[in-house]
Amino acid sequence: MSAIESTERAGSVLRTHALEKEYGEGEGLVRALDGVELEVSGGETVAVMGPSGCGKSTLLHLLGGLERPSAGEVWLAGARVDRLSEKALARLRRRAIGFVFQAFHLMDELTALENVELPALLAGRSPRAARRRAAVLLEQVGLADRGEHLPSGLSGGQRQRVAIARALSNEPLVVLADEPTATSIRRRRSTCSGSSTAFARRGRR
Amino acid sequence: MPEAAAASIKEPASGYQLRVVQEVLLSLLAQEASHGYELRARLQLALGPLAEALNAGQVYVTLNRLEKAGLVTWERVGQIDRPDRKVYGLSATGRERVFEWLEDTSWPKPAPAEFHLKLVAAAAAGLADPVRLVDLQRHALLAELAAAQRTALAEPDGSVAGLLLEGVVLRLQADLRWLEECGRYWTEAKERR
Repeated sequence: MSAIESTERAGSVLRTHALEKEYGEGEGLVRALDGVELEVSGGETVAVMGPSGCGKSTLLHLLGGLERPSAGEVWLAGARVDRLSEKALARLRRRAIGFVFQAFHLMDELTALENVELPALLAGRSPRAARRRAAVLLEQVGLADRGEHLPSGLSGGQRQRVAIARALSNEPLVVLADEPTATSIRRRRSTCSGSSTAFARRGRR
Repeated sequence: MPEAAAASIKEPASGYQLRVVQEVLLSLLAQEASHGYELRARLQLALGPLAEALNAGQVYVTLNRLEKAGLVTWERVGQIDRPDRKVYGLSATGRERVFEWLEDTSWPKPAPAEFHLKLVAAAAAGLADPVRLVDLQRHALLAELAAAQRTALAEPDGSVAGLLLEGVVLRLQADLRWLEECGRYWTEAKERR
């Protein structure tokens, strides 16, 4: 998993400034994030740890453009993204960001290989190129011999690695993972109840 | 052919529904007179792996309908050691229909309109969560994309059926992107309520 474990330093790929997110109003106002400063360089892995409800998932959603901040800035590869139009955000998510959700969202009826190649097919890669790429990614996460298995035939950790391979399918600039508590991303398991991880790939641009 | 038999033709689950079997058969007959079995084989060749969408009896049922509509004629041709077979040919009206079809620019109705109305109706009547319907639909289309991929990988490079598959995949890509927009809209709509 060279892309993930690389420690090569490059410029800042993902950055936030004074990031705030509030939900509700009046008495029910919840300040989920209050002035978050974050900087992730190319090749760097950052784990955000904290108890349940401390805003990890919210942060991830803001970083990935799934939600908009109440205030503050999100920068990806030198461009401010928190004010992009919905269409531009959708394009950004498709091309530059890989997500690994808590529940993995693998399709039960498709093999590991088929799950991994879907994003490449959606991005318009040819059938054979998408298949080749999926095979390489599965190999990188150590599942070369599990390509034809259905998710139900894989362990939880293996399913997670399939989800990671899928997130890497379109060579995203950053991969955002919610609750990657299994050991596959970092060997060092955190003792906290949860963590969110952002890893930036080595600078592609 | 009784109506019940026609209605029993199963729509293929895969989504490559052929609404134009009549016209395609007519155009094959415009080339030369032929019998049912051969027509089916020629149709399958053009469709490649997508021919699975073609129900085994569909060609025969369709030929029967065309015959009733006066678009095809047939004659009985005897065979040695076998029962006679019906060889079909094109009638003058049938030939006219083929050329009308070839020049006809109407495009199959895109899925968005129907699905959009379904979401609007579901939300208005509070019958179902539109976001869940979008998720269901996305799942179904992704499964179709995977099926098209399986088929594409089984096809040799540059096959004519491969070109058809490319169209299928491009359509799915567009639909899935639009579903993403639907998901966002209805999620926000839910939050506004």
